[in-house]
Amino acid sequence: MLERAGGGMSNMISPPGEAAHETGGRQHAEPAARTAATVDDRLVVLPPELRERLEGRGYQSPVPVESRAWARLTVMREARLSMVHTPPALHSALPWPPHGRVIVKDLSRSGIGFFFHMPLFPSQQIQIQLSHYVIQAKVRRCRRHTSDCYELGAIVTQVRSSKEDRSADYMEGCASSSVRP
Amino acid sequence: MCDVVALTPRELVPISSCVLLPDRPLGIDVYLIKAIDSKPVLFCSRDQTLSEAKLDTVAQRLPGRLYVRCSDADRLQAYIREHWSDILRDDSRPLEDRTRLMCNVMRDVLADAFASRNIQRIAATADFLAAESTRLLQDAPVAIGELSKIMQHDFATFTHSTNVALYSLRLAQELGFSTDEQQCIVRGALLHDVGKLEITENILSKPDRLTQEELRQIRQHPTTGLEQLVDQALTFGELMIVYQHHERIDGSGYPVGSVGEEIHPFARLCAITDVYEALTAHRPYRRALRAKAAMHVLQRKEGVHFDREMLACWKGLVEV
Repeated sequence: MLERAGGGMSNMISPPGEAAHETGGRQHAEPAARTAATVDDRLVVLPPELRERLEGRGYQSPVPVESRAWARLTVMREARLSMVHTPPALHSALPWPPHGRVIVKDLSRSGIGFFFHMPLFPSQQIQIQLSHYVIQAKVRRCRRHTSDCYELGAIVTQVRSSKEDRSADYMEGCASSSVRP
Repeated sequence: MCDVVALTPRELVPISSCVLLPDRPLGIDVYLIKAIDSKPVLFCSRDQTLSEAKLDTVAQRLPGRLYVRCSDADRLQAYIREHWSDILRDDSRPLEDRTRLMCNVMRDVLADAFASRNIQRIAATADFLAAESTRLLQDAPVAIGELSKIMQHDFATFTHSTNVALYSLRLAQELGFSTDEQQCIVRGALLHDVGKLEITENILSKPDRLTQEELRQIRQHPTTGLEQLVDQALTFGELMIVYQHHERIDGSGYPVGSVGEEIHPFARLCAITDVYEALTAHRPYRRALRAKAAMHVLQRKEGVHFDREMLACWKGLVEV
């Protein structure tokens, strides 16, 4: 279940279970050479100043200088990332692991922000498995904090969820409702 | 040849004699104006062909300039595109003439492609132009000062892209990149600002300070460019020119803030020529700098914004 941030990084959940791996594996559509890359289970380490800045945040309304239209809910939870599709021209760039661990920073009706230890390129398609739902998204932006910490933003293209989880209702609402959360 | 025609100079556009080929019908009436106050005379009618001897006369001894009707300008462009390769490969024409023609045609062709907003056409155009320009300057590299004299220096994106592509080609040659790599660099440089096509002209040419939102839109163009081109037949290096040409060695650039060798070498190269071209071009918000002043600006950021070795090489080229 999604929790409002407030307890900082200590709120982060443990890595998702087997189901998450299976889902990620079925969805994975990278070429064979890419899937052969070593699974990199490193978890991104946030610089202390960034961690402090993000602690204790809840909902954030869009501000005029931003292009975003929807409020964001700060999450700060660990999740599993799977690479779904990388355009062929970008294949040679980096040995992205087929799966990795990310820290989801925030969620909105249309987007997801997260931290990863590697850069990703705009137009790469990914899947993020949170505790009870799976988000498919297309990377839109990437910003470097350190050589091992990149902040990414992605446009949500699909949300699949489990009905028992209230956070899933929230996400479904985000994906289908025209009402701003 | 000497039929005086009832056309005013306003109805005519000047053309370079080097675009005309012998023994091929132009399909366009060509006029000659011998002196400023003289009337245009029909030099070659649309169904005639020009002989080699007549063209030589034009190139060497004929006073005045050749013109075509404004309404025939598009047809002339089509003729140039159709025969461009032949003209550029004609070693009997002076290299300077061919280089000038190449610059003009690159600008025109790229301008048309950009105006179409068809990304497939833009990429195909860049491919064609990169092949021809790399071939022309392969064996007879032109000095940067000469190139600069030939180039136009207005603010249009297609002019800037053409100039950056030719500067990048010279720098790539000097740095010892292979011919294939040089072609990639020219292709990428021609496309490096393609994301700016999504930005309104009001913002691009705004003489005042940009608002935060306008700045955000400007800073979005490398990402937009990558997204537009990622499914075209381009190499990784070409895409990185588009995506990383505003990255800086110290991480102060955008969109990612990549540092040092995280930035693709093609993009590091293009960052230098992009800034140099921007500084030496007329912009609505400031006057063009001279080559020396522009180099001074670049050198202040040596090793901070720009690759030290590449900048030293560029300096050597500019100072020739």
